[in-house]
Amino acid sequence: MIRRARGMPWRALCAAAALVLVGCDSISDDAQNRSLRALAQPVAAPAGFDAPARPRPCAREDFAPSRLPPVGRMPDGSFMEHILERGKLHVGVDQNTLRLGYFNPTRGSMEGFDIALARAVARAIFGRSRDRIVFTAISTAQRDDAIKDGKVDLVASAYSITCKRMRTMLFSSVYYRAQQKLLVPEDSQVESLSDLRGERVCATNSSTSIGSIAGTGVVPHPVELRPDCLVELQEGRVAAITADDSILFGFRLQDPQTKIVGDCINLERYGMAINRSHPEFVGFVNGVLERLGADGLEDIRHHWLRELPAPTNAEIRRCGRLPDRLRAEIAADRRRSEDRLADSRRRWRRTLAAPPVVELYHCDRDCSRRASS
Amino acid sequence: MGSAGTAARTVARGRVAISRHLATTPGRLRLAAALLVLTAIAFGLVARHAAGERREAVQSVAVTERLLVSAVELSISLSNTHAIAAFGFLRGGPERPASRRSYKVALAQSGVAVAEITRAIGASPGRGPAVRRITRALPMYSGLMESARSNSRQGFPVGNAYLREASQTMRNVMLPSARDLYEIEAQSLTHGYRAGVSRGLLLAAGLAGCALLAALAWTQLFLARATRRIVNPALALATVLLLGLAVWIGVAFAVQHDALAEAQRTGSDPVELLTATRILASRAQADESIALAARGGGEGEKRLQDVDRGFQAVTRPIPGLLIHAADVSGTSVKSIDAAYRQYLAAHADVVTQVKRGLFDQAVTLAVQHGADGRPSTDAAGDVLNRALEREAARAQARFEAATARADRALNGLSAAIPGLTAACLVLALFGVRRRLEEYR
Repeated sequence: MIRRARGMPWRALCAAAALVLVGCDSISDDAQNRSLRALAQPVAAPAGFDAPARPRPCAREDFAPSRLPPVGRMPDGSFMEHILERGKLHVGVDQNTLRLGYFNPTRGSMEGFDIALARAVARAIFGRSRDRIVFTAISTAQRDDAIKDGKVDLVASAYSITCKRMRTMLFSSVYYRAQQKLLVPEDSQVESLSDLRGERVCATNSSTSIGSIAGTGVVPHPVELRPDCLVELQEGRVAAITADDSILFGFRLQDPQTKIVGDCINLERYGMAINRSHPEFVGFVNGVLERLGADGLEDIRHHWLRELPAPTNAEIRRCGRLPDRLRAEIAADRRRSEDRLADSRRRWRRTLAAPPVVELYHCDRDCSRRASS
Repeated sequence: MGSAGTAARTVARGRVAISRHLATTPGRLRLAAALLVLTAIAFGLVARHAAGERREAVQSVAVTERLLVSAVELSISLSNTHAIAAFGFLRGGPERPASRRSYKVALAQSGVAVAEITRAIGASPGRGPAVRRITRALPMYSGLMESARSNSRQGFPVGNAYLREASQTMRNVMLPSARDLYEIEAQSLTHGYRAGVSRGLLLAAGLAGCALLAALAWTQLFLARATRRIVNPALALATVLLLGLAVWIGVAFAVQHDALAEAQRTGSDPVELLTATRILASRAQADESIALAARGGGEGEKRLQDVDRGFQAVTRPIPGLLIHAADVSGTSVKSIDAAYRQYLAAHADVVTQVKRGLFDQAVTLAVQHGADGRPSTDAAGDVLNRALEREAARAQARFEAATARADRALNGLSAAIPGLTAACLVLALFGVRRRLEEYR
């Protein structure tokens, strides 16, 4: 744009020009277009529905617990030593799940079952957990990436061990077994998933629960964070919520006008997730869990989830049993796993007290198929 | 055959009679009078319409610009309300009475802003849906906020989920609607400017004026030849009157054009650029405080690193806007630039603390006092906002003065055009009639 001289001479010129009907064109959209462009903010894309691909059952590699080194003296070259030098343990958590992992605004600190376990790990490294943990709040869908990118050392966030996840990260031993169930309003007649055909059922995006309701006739209603489901239920936008009973238990505490119903849709085994490049840390965490012992773990569970009855062995067996036709697949997968693990064993022998063993089966959706049909 | 032939003959006879009459001097004079009447009426109507159109455009520009400013105020008060509410909840610990009070004040201000814009806009088309969306969403938003509050007070994390829902209502419904309103006003402002300098009717008026002038000249030439009197005083006066009116119209339109262009250049353009900056700065500040209160990623908001990227993205156009504002208005934006730099520095300090994982220090830097005696981002943001407001108010004053000048330029014209054209016509007819009477 050409800057024009201002003042009387120009005005006189303009007047003369206007007289011969030429006029001085000085109206422009320049400034306005610039302002509008600057204000055109991109609108965040709505959360998509990314149901997990149909998983196949697989063998699970578990690492024998290593003997715990003395506090503050981690083995040379191990990941624990790196954490010790850094002075902080980075833990990925969910800060919205009452009793499992949540930010207590009154105390100004993180609390819950998962948090207590993360603190136990920090205590084993530093001798205390206070000021030694950086909690990073991550959503259910962000968990995989947080581990893969090394943003956190450990994820303790009601994380179900599944075949798909096992391919991209390592898991500690199972520390809790939860059952996927339904939460409905107190006066609802719904008793199982089959009563909800055609109805909207809320589940967290990328969770195992949303995968296991696909194809059952209900309309999945995915949300980004766990408590969003409770909002959807309270606002009457969904007929039910499906999630692990440990999570639904927290919802019930926040809204007494709801109830947990239904048979176990799916058995969920919680483990702490760790990056694949730190197997020695998995052994260490398993060592921490072993030292806590069944009683210690039960004490922590009882402290946070005492009103929620722990699943009995019979329930676990019933919910987690595999159909016969899958056993052959598992055997084949186990052989593949063993080959792969033979390799790893050689690499890990230096830092691990014992080689990894293949010991547990896990399936996700196929069991639910059986349970719901 | 007979009747058609008769009619044709009658027409032919009539034609012959008219052309014979026109060949005579009185006939010529009557023709001249008719031409004068026709061209004068055409000129008077078209010129008056041209002046009226421009004046209307000037007035609509003035009104639209005020609506634009109210849309900006609405947008800013909404985003402030949300920032205050979210920050109050998320920083943890028991709710502070002060933060509750400032939330209620901000919410009330938003309500007032909505009411004002509703009243100002009235039933004007196009703006209704956006205003309705905001009016509907505001009570829903405050309801969600109260659910968030009562749950949070009991320590229930579902409060965070309600807060997120309220955030989404704000981000996906209310702020975009406020922006739609802003865009509608901005576009109608441009439209007003275009209409204010449109030349179609002016050109038509010019042609009609030339026709009238030609009619006057032809009459005078004819009379001079027929009567051997060089000057017909009445007709000469009419011609002078017409030329005078033409000069007046030309000058008035030129002054109005110039004033309107100035209103845009030094008034509404800087106002738009500066208020766009204000909106962006308040958005950046809201994002920062929400992310901080969420301690780097709670409540499902983006993690602070992402928000810092968002902050950079939101603030990126600001320097360009400021340079452009200085460029178009020819004024200095040094004080704004300094305030903006200080604001960026304060934000950078906060980000440094966050990267070290020191959230409490970061919150202190953000709301209480900055590092090394510098202001906190909150305070720096306020300084920036005030500087922008001050400069925008100055531009607003320039805009109002210029549009008033544009309006004044056309003020007398709408009465003068019909009056002077009529006078011109009466004088001309008087001059012609004097000569006609000599033939009776």
